[in-house]
Amino acid sequence: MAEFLEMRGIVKRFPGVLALDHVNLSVRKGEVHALLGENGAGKSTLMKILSGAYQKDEGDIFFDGQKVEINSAQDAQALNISTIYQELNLTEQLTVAENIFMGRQLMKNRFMVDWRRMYDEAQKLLDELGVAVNAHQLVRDLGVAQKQMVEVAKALSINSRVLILDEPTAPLTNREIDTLFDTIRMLKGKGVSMIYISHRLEEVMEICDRATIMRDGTNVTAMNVADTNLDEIIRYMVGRELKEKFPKIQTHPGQERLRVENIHAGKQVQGVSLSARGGEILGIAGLVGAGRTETARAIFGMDPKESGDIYVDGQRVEINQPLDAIKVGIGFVTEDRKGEGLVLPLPISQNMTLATLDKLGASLHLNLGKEKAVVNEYIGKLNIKTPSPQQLARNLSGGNQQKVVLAKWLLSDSKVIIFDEPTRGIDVGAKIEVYNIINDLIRSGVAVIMISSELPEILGMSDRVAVMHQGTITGVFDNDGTLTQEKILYYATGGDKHTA
Amino acid sequence: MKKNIKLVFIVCLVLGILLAALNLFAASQRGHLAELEEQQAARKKALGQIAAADVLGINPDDVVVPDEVELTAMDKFVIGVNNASSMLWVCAVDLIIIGAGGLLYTMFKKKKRESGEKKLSSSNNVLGIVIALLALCLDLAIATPVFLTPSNFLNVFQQISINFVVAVGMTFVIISGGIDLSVGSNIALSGLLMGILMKNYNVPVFVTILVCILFSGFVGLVNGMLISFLNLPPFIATLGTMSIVRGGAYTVTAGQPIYTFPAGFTAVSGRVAGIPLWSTLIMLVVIVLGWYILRYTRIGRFTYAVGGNENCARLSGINLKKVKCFVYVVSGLCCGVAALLLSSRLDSALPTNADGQEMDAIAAVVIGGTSMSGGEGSMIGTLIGILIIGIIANGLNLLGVAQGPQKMVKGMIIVVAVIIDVIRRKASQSSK
Repeated sequence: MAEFLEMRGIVKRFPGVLALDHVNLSVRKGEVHALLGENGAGKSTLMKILSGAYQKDEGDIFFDGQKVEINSAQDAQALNISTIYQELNLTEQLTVAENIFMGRQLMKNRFMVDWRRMYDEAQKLLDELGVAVNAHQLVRDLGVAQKQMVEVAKALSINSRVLILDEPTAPLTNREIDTLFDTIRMLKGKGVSMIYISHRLEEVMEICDRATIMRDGTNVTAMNVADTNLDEIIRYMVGRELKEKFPKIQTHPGQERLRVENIHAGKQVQGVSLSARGGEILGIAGLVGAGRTETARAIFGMDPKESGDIYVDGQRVEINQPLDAIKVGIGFVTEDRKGEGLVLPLPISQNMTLATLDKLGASLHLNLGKEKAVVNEYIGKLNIKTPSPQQLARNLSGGNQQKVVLAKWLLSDSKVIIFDEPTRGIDVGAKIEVYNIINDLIRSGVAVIMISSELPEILGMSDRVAVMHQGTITGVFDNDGTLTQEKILYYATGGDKHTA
Repeated sequence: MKKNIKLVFIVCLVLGILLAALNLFAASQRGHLAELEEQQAARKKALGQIAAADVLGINPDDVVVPDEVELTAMDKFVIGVNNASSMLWVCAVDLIIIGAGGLLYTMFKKKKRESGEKKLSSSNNVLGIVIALLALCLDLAIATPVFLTPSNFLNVFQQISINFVVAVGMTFVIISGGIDLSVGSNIALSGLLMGILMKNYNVPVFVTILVCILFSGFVGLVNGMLISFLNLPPFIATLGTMSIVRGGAYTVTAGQPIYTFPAGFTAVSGRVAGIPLWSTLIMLVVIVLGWYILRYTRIGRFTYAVGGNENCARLSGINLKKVKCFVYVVSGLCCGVAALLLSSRLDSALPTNADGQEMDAIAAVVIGGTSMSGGEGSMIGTLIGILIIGIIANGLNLLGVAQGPQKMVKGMIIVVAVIIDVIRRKASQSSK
């Protein structure tokens, strides 16, 4: 088959850094091509060159056999190359149709927008995609998956021939992912070429035809997905053999450290009870909107709760704000790293010690020397890649940022730590490191609660699994090898309520 | 883009050097010019003698009339240059500083990038404004000889003392992500209260000072409560208190000023051995305390964290309400101290005192590199910001610039400072 889009010998230099070193990428017509690599491998830079956000220093781009120059986003648009970013680019206050036709509204004449035709066309596109969205709806009323479908519809409406999908499934639940994949297959049938960037390799195996793997700004290899397996891909990506994706360790759970009884908090938390023992990982599974994060936030005192009791080490505790939770020894690694986990304009050191400043000097005076020592110790321990502890948090990569957040709670000597999506958006290597940090915690007798949307992660790391659905826990299972994804999904979609 | 900037710096440098050379050349021509002048004077004198002889009816044989001096274009040019010498020197020095500084900076940055190091915190930002401050001083020293005199230094010192104290408090507020517009009226009301307590009720000086500073702190507390407990936007809350407190200032004395305070009070701004000892000490204490709290205490850290990311701060167990109240109380207390300095120096208190003070304080903080969006900034930066504003005002006064244009210049400097802040922020984000 002929190559439809080809990037040959692309070189991109940033001052002092060679970001891309003669990278090649070729995509055929109507194929889904995976672009894989760890964070910082150069995937985004390459895609930004293709979408006109950056300009290449060397190399050629061929499109449909023609050599083309892409110097701006307009150039890319003219070639019908569009991108769906992880952070969706929609205007929340406008309707679906307005978003789809943003900037190129259908006009009756020079001055009048042809609203009816616009809404009709938009609806037609949405129906074609099989999305249950009304074109008149405001985007802010849609769920994440629906918003993404609106983006897809937008891409379709400009007759995209190359569609770049950057981590499209990150915010989606399994069922929504299935819908997205159906859509991708349909687009494929229409001859649209897609470049698919994802950290979730299982999905790549499922949906992609070929894969190009990058490491440190160079091509490692390109291959047919059908001829390879996960282990091989990972080996190419990280350049070394990873023994296991989930380094689970055997521990002997001790006393119950946290017990939560019948918590109610808003619509999303309707009487949740759970308990976690020292030295175990309690996984909490469930679909998006099941109330997992909300439960954690209610336990931690971020959101007010209407009723319910919390016991730490058998003592009933009163938690009305995060400060109370920290005092009784609960830590919370939030899923929203940038929004809640870090103070981005502050350096690593100050972020790490933010929750534990009272340990740096007994009275008013902060012992900065001691802080420096502690921070350096944890930078070493967690293998945080930074030139200095004074580096601002905003300048770190996702994986390193996550490690800083982890360090903050490791420093607090918590008895219970709740991890909400601890490995979201970080690369394979960093994931293993995060798992190892969690392992160290349970070895030292901490009770770990891990909320995750990735079932392999839940099954791979948890000792017990609690499944949530519509604000309640529908089942708690020992992860003794007999627990399957199907069983979890069954309970995540209502469990015994199905039959009842 | 990058290359263009470098080119601009090079052009600046070359132009600066050319200007300096021109100046030196003009100065070296002064001997020649003096000669020409002498010749001209001699001719004038001779012509005068002839005219006098004419009147007296004497034959002026023995008077030799020198030739008329032909001023070449070059001579005229040199005279022009010499007349504008100080201005040209200022331009030359500035261009050289911009050019050399810019070139050095780009080279320095490149080196840092190559060694794999990324830009660290705000330290080089502070360096930039220190250079600006030094350049400013150099310019003024060239432009007016009065600038470098000790009496002028004392003058500058006195001019900045109020803004100095207020800006320290404002730094806390802005780092926490807020703003305090009520500082000016707070100073005015507090000053009037001092007058009333001392003159109408004969309250001892020390007690008066204490009570009034606490009162100013209380005004800050009200700001803090409105903002943290009622969730009002800081701009609106302090805009409200600004008007309320200013109104209060007009009301307590029915708009009348209060004059002549007890000697013990005015002594605060008095001089000991020619130096304003007490006010200097007060300023020193305020800024050192501010610097210490921001850098070495928990509440200082919390101030940064709340300004940088409120959600994260809350999640890390920080009591947001406490921190917010704290920063506005600090700002209020600083206003009280400023009221003390101002009233004791003027030996009077007016309801219109410190009008527009908030602008100067905010400007100093922003010029000092503190981000208006919170979470970034330092006391050292504010100190330099205060000096820059004070010295510019002093320089403009010395050069005889009127109040109107002075205000315009001040406004432009603020805008430029914010533009630099925005560009810096963009650069640090895109370098990621």
